[in-house]
Amino acid sequence: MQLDWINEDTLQVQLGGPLDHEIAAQLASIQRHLLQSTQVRNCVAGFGRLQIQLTRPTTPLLDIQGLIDQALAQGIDHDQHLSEFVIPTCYDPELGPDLISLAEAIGLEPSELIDRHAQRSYRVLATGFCPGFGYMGETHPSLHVPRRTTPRLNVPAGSVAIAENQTVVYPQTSPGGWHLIGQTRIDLINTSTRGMQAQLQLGRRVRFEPIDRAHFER
Amino acid sequence: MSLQILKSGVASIQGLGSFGMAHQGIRAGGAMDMIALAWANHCLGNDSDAAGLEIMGGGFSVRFMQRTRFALCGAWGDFYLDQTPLPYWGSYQAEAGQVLSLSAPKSGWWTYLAIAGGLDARQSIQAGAELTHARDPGGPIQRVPRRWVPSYTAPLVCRYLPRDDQTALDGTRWAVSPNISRMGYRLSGRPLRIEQPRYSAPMALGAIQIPPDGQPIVLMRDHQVLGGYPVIGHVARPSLGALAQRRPGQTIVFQPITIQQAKAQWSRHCDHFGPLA
Repeated sequence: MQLDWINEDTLQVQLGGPLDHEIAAQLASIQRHLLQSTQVRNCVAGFGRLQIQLTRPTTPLLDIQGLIDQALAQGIDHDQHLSEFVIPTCYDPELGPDLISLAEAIGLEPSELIDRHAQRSYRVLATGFCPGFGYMGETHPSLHVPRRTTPRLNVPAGSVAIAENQTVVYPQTSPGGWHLIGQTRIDLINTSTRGMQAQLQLGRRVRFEPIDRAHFER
Repeated sequence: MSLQILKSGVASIQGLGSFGMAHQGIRAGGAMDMIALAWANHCLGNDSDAAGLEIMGGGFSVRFMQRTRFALCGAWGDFYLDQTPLPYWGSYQAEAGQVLSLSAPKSGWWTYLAIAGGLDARQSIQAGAELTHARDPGGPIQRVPRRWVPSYTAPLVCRYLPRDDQTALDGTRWAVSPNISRMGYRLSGRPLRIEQPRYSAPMALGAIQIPPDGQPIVLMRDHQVLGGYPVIGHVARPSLGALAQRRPGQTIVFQPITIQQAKAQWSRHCDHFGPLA
């Protein structure tokens, strides 16, 4: 594992493959451990890569290597720390305007597309795009499609989407170029007395659970 | 203790930026010209992490509600305390009721107004707003030596740290484009063609991204946490603030340096001012 300085106060390392679940869980465990240290200012990780910004540029690389080794040696059972997060999703064409056309383009029935999206255990592979957001993967090979050629200006908050080999939920209304296949009303951000905590934490296992329209509207 | 915003211009309160939230998608922020802010704090005897007012392009004025020690550094123009012109980077004493007014600067973009004791970071800037600040703990009135006041119109030698033995940027000349913001500065010049990565990656301050059109983007203080374009190197911290003060049309040339050189230079700054970011 080659930890390298990329600027005066930031280290980076590619720990493993971008879609690897085991690597994502390791990154999450390292990230949690590093963020507890006063030597670390920020720690961003995703798609197999770890980036650590230090509080002081004079901190030796070996000190940070030591913290990483500690985290790995602890061999935390990450699944103890983070239970599977279930996203109740309504795969209704009115809520997912690309569902029908995408299924047709791929050569599937909409119900098959839904099955292949929902009958799968994902891991959060990267976070940091915006609060509450996580890239999850890998989707079923038959669902691998490029992003839309024309992004939408306004994707509603809660939209469940796919593109490339990943799936995401938009935590807030924003522009977006992914294919919208449903919606969820679950809170992606927990606000408690301890502050803001995202549900889609790096390395967390995630599953989408189909719910019907009545359930969604409730 | 407070000051009243009369003309807000384009301003925000900035310090070193935030800690520990990038992985949640919260951008770090911080002063675009960190060294100019550092000088302003230094002239007041403030801690180096004291937050100050960052004013872009002047057009700003405040009334001091009580006797206040303040400092001004960065982009300079016709700056007045009531009718008295302020001629240099340094700290000054204002009496209660006096008005500080900043015209558009003659060069550069970013002017820093620091207050003795520092400003509370979580305040919004708008005309009529009152900003609270700490009581003056006492300290110097002093001027920054002229040799430390940089020119923002000189062509910039932008020192940078190449990634992975990349030499494509070495010695290349670019113009600052009109597409500049606290998120990033776009450069124009002969396009660089680089293979685009498949996956987004964490981005660091000063990253030089090469999008498909081959025109580099240098990531600044409000940059996105993750980025999908390839990164060919990182601008050294002092050069980043110098670049931030360049205007569209001005020229920069990239000069590669080693991490040892970059750390040595930045450490000298941190030794002089206190911890910086």
